[in-house]
Amino acid sequence: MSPARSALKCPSCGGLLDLPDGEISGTCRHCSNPVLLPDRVRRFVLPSVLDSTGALRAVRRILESAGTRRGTAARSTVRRPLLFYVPYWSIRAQVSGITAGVEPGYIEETIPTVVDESDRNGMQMGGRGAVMVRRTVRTRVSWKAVEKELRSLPRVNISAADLEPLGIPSLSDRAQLSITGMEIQAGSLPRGLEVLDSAGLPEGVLVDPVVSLSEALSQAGTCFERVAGGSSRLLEHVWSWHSVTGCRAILLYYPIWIVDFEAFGGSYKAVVDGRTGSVARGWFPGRVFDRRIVAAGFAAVWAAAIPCLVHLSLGSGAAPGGGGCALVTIAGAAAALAATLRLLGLMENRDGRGDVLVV
Amino acid sequence: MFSSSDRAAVLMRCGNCSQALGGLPDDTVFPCTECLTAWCLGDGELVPRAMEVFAMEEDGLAALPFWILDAELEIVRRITRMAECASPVQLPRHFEEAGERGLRETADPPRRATIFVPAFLTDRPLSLGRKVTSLELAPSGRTVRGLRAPGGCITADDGLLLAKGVAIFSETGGRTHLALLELDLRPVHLRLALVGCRAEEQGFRVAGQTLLIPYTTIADAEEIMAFSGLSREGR
Repeated sequence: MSPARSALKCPSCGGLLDLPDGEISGTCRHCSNPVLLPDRVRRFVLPSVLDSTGALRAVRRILESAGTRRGTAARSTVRRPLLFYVPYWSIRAQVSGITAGVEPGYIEETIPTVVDESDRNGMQMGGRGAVMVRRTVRTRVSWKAVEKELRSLPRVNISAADLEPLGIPSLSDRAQLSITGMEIQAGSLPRGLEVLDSAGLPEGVLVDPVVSLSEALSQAGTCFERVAGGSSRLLEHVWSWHSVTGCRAILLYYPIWIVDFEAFGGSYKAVVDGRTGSVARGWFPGRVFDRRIVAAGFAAVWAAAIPCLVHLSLGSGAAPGGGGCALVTIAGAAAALAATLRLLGLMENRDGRGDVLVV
Repeated sequence: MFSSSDRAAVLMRCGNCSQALGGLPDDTVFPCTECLTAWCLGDGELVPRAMEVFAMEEDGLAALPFWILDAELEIVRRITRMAECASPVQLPRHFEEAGERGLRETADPPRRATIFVPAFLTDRPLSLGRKVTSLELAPSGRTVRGLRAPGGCITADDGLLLAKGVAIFSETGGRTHLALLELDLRPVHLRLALVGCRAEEQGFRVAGQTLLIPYTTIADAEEIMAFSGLSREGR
C-alpha cells in the first residue's frame, strides 16, 4: 500500500494540505480555510470484513465439499491469502428528454379457426383430420399520439481493472451486470463505503485503475444513451430530444482475497469476496472416477482372460492348420492390452488439471 | 490518472465578501448568501454569477438552487399531429413528414422567455423546470444571510442545455400533440435562483405555492436536508 499523498498546498497560507486520498474537500489545518480539490475524483473503499483466516476458511469449506476431489483439503498446500482492493468506476447522471411518437392501437378478437390436428399438437398424429379451435387475433386499427418525458437517474458501474483472468466478468458499456457473489450490483452502489485513506487501511494492495476516468465516462455515456433510446420503445414515427447532464463519478475499491494452492500436482486459485465472505470464483480439483479402481478391474479381467487365451493359443497351435488362428488370438490380445493401456493413460491425464471444479 | 490532475486546491471563500462557501461533495455551484453571488466551479477555479432569491418570505426554509435563463426563444418549426387516428397503416420508426397525414406546421416569432431549471440532481428536471417556470415567482426582497443552499451540482453549461429541454417540454401537453420541434434558444442572462421550500413529510413544497417536489425525485434529498440543518415536518 502506498502511503504517499499528493503534496498539495493551501491556496491561502501555502501550508501543506493533509486530506485523505479519497477526499476532494476539507479544511486547511494551518489556517482553517475551506479548500476544494476540483480535479480530484472522490475515492471510496469497501473495507474487507474478512481477515486472511476467514478467507482460508471460505476456501476450506469448498475443499471439503462433496463436489471437490476427496482428500484435497488434507493434501493441498495453501499459500498465504492476499487481499486486493479492485477499482470500479461508479458514474451517475441525469438522463432527461422528450419523446414524441404514435402508439399503435389494436383490437383483439377471438375467432373460430379450422386447423389440422397435427398442427394443433405440433407433431404429426397420422391424419386425424381437421378440428375447430378458437384463436385470439390482434388487428391494428388505429394509433394515438404520445408525448413522454424521459425521467431517469441511472447509475453505471465500469470495471477499472481487468478481472476476467480471475473469472470475474468485466463491467463496461457492453455489459452492465450484477456480479454473482459480489456486492457489485447493476445500477446501485454497495453499502458501507468509506472515504479512501490509504494510510488508514490495515492491509491489502490497492490495484491501480487501468481504465481512465475519461474512458469510463465515455463508456457510461454509451449506457446513458441506451437508456435514453429505450424511452421510445414500441412507438412509431418517433421524434425525440434528450440530454445527459449532472454526470458525477466516484472510484470505489472492492475487497477480494486471492488464495492460491497446490494439490495433486496442479495449481489452483480461489477468489474470496471480502464483503460477503463467499468464494466468488475458484478452480478446485474436481471429484474424478478413481483410476486405481479401474486399473484393479482391468487387472482382474486380464488375470481371468490370460489363462484362457494361452490355452486357446496352445490348443489351436497343436491342431493342424491352427497356426493362423493362434496368431489372430495373440494379435487380438495385444490390441486389447494396448487399448487398456491407452484408457489408463487417458485417465492419468484426467487425474491432473483435467477435472476441475469451477465455482 | 486521477491524481495526476491534482494541480491546485481552490480556496472556498466568496471572492466578494470572504464568506466561507460550502456544499455537498458533488456540488459545482456554491451560493454566497451574504452578498448574493453564486460561485461556479469551472476549469479549476470559481467563477461568479448573479444570484436571486425567490419565495423566501418565511423562516426555516430550505433553499433549493435553480438556474434561471433569460433568453430569446424562437419556435422555428413546430409540427403537430392529431390526438389519434383510425389508421391501420404501420408508420416508420422515425418521424418523416411525408409518412403521416393530418400534420400541422406552425412557427412562432422570437420572444423573451424566462426559464427555471433545477440546479440539483432530479429525475425529472424538465417537468419540474416547467412547473416552477409557470409559477412566475417574484424575487424576494428578504435577506437570507447565513442560509445554507446545498445541492447545486448542475453546471451552468448543463443548465443551458436543460433550459432548452424545458422550453421543448413546455410545447407538449396541449390539445394538439407534438410531432417535431425546431427551436432556437438564444441565452441572454443566466443566473442562479434560490427558491425557498418547506421540508414537508413527502417532499419540498415551494413556499406559498401548492407545488410539491417529492423527496424521491431528488437524488440528494437527505443530504440537502442534513446540510441545511432541517428535518421533515411531522418527524
